[in-house]
Amino acid sequence: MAGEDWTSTLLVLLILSSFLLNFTDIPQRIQLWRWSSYIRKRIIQLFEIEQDARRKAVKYLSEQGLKDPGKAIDDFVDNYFLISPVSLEPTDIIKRLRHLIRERNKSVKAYVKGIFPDAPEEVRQNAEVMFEIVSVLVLINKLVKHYFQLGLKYSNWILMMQLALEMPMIVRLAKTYDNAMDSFASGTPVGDGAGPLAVRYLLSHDVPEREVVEETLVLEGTVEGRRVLAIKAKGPGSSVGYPGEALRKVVEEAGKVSAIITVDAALKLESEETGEVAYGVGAAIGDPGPEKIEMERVAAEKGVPLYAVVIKMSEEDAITTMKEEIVKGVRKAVEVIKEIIRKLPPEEPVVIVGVGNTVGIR
Amino acid sequence: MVQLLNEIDTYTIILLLMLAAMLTLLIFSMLPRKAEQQEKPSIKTLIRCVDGHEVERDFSKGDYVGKKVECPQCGKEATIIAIYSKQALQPRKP
Repeated sequence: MAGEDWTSTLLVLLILSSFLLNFTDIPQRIQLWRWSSYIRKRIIQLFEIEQDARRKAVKYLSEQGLKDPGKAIDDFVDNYFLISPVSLEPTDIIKRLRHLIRERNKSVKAYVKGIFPDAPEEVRQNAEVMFEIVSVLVLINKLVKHYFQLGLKYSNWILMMQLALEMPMIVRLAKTYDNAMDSFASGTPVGDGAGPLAVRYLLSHDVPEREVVEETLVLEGTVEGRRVLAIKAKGPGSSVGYPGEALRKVVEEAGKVSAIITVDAALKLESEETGEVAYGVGAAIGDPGPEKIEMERVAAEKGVPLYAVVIKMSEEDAITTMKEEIVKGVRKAVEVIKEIIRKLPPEEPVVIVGVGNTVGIR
Repeated sequence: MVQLLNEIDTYTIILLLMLAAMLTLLIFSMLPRKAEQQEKPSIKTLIRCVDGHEVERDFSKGDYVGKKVECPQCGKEATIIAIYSKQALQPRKP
């Protein structure tokens, strides 16, 4: 008899809970509570990451002799944003975008020069990157809090669920930026420096070089019996230079070139290995547009083949200290470039563009 | 005890088992996951001597690719040709 009572009670409970779960908003409310509690914990984690990055920036700036680094960071964060040009009318959009990017860069450089008037160029360049990283982390935190508070305000459990599912990737990205602070503070090359490193492996450090445009060098040497003009950003401070503008200038000065070979780091797919090398056709560069279009235009105007050699890596690898696998990848990429050069006519020069951040690479 | 067991029928046992399974799943889903094994990278500097041999040493502040240094093996002129991180597995805490 006792067994029947148990069964009846449990069955009633099951039917009742089935009704509550299927015909009320209670499950969604529970989900909203669960997701929000999960996101809250991750927001605390993001805040700690931001604070850690700030501490690293303060330490670096103090070591360089800055008296109030906290204020310098606060004055930079939230400012120096860039509003994209109008795309509804695309005429001259690249020209306008280029102008805005250059003006922003100038403002950032002027700000850093203002607080470090006598510091070496590479210290100022590394400080710029540190300011930018703290800014990015503050922005990530603000965006996450914005969507979290919107979800709570309107009890939008779908928004909350989407945010909760994205949180592991967001936290990982923030951690990557925080780790990148160490690389820029110590001045070690980052994965994105694969392009400039390939240029240095192709031509030695003793070949003649000159600054062709701001923060961008052209090196001249011989590879496989061909005259090579190689472009890279000026190091060892953190800089990507202006490779598109430099390419136009170098090609116009040279008159006729047999080929343009671009070499850069490329984002790998999850199934690919860090340091894998691939080659193809086109401009291997990940800028917002102006530099890439300049490369394509120069190649098209002059009727010169434009080759791309890429070294695969994750986003994390690209902005943190260069991994050993990437150095091996660079050596492989150099062999690929030599193979391309061997097939070109020997009487005309070849232009090689090593795209990427040259921090830690002279 | 035997009398009580005799009184419980099959349906009750199935329901109790189902409840136990649900509770176990709930508890397991709430338990914190084990943290992934952390890898601590060490940063190395690769130096090429004028003699052609290459030497790897620990990175020291101020190193950059292209810097002229003294070869740690023979003392001749050398150049830093690479700086990279090497992944080393951290020993697990007991």
